[in-house]
Amino acid sequence: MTPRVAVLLNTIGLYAISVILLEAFYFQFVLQELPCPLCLLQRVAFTALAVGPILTLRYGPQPSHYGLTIIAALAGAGIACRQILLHIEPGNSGFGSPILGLHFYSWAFICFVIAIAACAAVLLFNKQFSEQTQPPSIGLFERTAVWLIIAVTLLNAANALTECGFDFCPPGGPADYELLDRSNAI
Amino acid sequence: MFFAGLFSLFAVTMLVAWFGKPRVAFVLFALAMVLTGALYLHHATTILPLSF
Repeated sequence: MTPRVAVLLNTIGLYAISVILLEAFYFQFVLQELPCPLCLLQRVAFTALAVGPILTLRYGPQPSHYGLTIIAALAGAGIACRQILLHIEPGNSGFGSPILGLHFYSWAFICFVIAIAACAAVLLFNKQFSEQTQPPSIGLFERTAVWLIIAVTLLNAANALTECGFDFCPPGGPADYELLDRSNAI
Repeated sequence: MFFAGLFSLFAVTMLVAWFGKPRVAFVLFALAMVLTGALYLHHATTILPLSF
């Protein structure tokens, strides 16, 4: 695997993370399902996944960049696993609407495991680390991937502030947007 | 506010990874992960009715 192919795969990974986070927004705004604190933490872990690929796009592939992604994916898988265990009892309908039979946190767990497996697979190819002499050439496709994930992360920051207000989110998740409720009350 | 701060910190980490020094991005990433763990411990308080 050449550094060029590694950069392409990392770019595709960034687009995939953006799509997952935008899909979470779709469920929140179209289906009116506000995310719970553990759901927000899984979104945080998805944004953490993006730091490694951005470093790879900027400086070329390094094993440490994949290490960051694996750490973020392990944290995300742990948080998703915790939420799966919360709803695993028979008779528990779970949190939110299922997508193709699985809830968002179950899909999140699968995505984090896939991210770990993908990093392990890419790390098998040493040529990407030995061939590079200078930072990779970056085009519009790669730049768009970076700015898209940064924009989606900032949107999540604004969304979390609107949803939880200036305090911790309530344990079961807020029933409505805290900040909008506050402005309506004034 | 804490979630908004965490998302913002990761956004700053991404910007530093893109424009700044990788070492600073690594430090910011470590800080953000520690804060993520702290926020998780704050919210994951329900005792699971399971035995392993």
